[in-house]
Amino acid sequence: MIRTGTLTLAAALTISTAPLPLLAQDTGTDEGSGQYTGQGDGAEGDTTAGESGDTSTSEDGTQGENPEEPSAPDEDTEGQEAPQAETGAGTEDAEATGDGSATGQGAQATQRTPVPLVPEEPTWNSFHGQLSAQKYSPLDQITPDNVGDLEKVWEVHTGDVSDGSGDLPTTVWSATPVYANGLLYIGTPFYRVLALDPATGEEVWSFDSESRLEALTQPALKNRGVSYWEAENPVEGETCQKIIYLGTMDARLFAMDADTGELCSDFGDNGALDVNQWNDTNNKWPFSLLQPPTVAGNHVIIGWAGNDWKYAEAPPGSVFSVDPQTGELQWAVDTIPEDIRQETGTANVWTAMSVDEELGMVYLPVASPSPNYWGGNRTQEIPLATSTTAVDLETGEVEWSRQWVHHDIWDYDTNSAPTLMDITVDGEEIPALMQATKMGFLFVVNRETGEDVWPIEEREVPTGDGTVEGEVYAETQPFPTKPAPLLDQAEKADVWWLADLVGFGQCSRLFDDLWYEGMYTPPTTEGEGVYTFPDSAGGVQWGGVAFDPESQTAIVNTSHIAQYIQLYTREEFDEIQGGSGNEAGYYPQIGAPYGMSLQVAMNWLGMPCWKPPYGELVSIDMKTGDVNWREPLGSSQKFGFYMPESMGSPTIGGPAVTAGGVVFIGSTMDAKVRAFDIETGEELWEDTVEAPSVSNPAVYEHEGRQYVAFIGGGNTILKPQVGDQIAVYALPE
Amino acid sequence: MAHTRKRRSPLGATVTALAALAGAGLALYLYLTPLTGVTGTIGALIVVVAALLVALGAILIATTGHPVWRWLTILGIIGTAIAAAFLHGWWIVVAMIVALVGIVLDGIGPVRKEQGAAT
Repeated sequence: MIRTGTLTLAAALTISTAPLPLLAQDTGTDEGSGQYTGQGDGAEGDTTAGESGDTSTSEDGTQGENPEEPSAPDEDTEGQEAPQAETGAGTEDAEATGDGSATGQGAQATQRTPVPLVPEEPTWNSFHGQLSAQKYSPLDQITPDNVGDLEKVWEVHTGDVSDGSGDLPTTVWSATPVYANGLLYIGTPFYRVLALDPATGEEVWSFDSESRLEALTQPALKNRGVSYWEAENPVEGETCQKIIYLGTMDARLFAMDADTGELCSDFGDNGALDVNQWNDTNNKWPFSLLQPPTVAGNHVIIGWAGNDWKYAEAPPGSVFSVDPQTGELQWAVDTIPEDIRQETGTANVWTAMSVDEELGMVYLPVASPSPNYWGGNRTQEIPLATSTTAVDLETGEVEWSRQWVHHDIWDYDTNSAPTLMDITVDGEEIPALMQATKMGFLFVVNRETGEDVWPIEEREVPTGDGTVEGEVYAETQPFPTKPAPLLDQAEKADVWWLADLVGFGQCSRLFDDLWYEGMYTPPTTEGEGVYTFPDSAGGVQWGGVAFDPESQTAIVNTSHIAQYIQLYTREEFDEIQGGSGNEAGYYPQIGAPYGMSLQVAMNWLGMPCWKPPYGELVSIDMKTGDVNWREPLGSSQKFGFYMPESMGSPTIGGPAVTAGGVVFIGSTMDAKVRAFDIETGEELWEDTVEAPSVSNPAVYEHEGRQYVAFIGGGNTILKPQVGDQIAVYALPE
Repeated sequence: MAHTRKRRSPLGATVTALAALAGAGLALYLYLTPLTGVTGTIGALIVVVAALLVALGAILIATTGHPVWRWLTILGIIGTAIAAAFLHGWWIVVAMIVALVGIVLDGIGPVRKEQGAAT
């Protein structure tokens, strides 16, 4: 056991095991292509020292097994008391590393008790219901036989909504309510918290962060909810033994007593932690806390979002773990090698994370580096970018990492929490993890080791047309062999005859002009640009994959959207640049030699040029990796007109599954919420909410009655329809 | 000299006009009421206007008897019904079917002879 020395955050974070070089372009398959193996027990090879000057070493330890006493702080760091603790992790001689896994200043290691992956009691106390991100409820009152009787038992309109026509930016509300402490908690895009009676919707308390309602890093005011923590051994009579956390666009994390909504004065600065104090490289915008932190044990684990469309040089990716009651930093993970942090940025974690508390691992879905569509400033490997990275819950040390896109120049952020699942494949029980991706690939690996469950092959991909200055392309990319891709990216999609007819051949001409040589065809300056499918919003979005542990069935919704990307020289871009929206428009990539545009392939009337379906709901048997069923999901809608349901809808949000055999999901343009039979995919029930429900529903039990809660919040990626509605359904009493 | 004019009974045109007004009212309801799925959409407004134009067509049929209004009104009814179907406004579709029945009634209804004024 060692103690960390005096530390300053600006001097980088220490106590880390240096990572092995990531085989970013590894062509191996069976051995786990592109797999980074952190030290753990040191078995994977030599560790290499990083480049941080501030070093600390740790002794060999037993990872996460023994409680450690925190050491006394040595000095304050930018107003934040430097956290001190021993690292209980099994590090070898380690230094702060730049390349991928710099970990923090010591963990307040705590005794872990075995925690089953599937909670024994109905649990929906976090963004994805449970830390496994299964979005699974063991409740079974609602079944395929009676779900048709569901009725809306209450609804609340928060009032926190803007369509962008006034002084405020438009709102994007993708929150999932959290059921905990006998209350239902929800954050709003005006950065307020409501605590509601789960049975009636009556407000118990509310909290207003009075945060700046400005689009500081995003085109809209966004919020995906709140997080909940409770002390394992609460101190009677003390406040803040149960805490709700709310993040804001301007980088503050508020902590409030879950019973009263009063700020917890011991947390940060009188209840608010300034996370931007750690924004010390390329500080061009604040760390926006739109995704609620992931709370596990005595760790509040914080990722952040930014404005990765604008700058080539941006804040480099980092994840922070802080003490739940004080906000003191426990550890941090840096995702970009130190020697190139100034030249690039992001590779951040902007979506939810998942946690296996029994293994003591946090799984980070890491985004792409900046700028999004040119990589000439980052030609060396960034092993943790666009990856799933497993880190030790107590220390932040990287245990293993799998990179899903090498040298990502398509903005294919890993955008959802991996779903942890125990599956049986060929008679072998496997602690697995399924990572859904923007590419529409579902990667399945062993969550203990990162090794393939079904082979993930490195395949050759197009390497450019030679028109883009400074670019060095990856020659191969990982392709899963099972499950099959959720959409077919091998060739351009077929042109939809009706859109082509209405457009007088516009769609055919556009598709003919777009360059495409298959998945991962890189951006170009030539012609109309490069065809890209799926689009930057993703084949799967942050709703991720739901999993029924009883039948070992995975449920995932997809979007099928074709876009095209064009790069422009700086001079050209300055002449033609236009407006930008949410995942479409013109983006400068300041600092890169190219600006770019990203457009959805549509005709003059706004009809999609490619053949439907535009979105589907898919069921996968995780014992075999085969598809059970797949059905078009929802209706697309334009000007109010619904397209036939056989055409499906682009989807944002995700499903929840129950032991009753029902899948609940919103996600579609038509602002409907639906229930499906998990066995057959048959639609059993629907209702209309105020705006597209772009988050996962919450399923909870309160006083013996099962409820399903949807948020009608809307997202401008789907259509400009916004809402402020919480709609809760149950069977008649 | 006095003359006579053949005119249809106003029954069919009246049915068409009333059904079209009902359709416009339903579309307005869809436009204005929260959670209809088409609240505040251009599509719902288009159907409101289209249904009102059908009602106007019915009035012109009744007042002028000119066949061009009949055919234009039929086209209007079909178009409004299709648009309403894409809004999932099924009661508007029903109203348009009734409006079409009115047109049929107007075409097959009894002819009334009117005495014209002396010129």
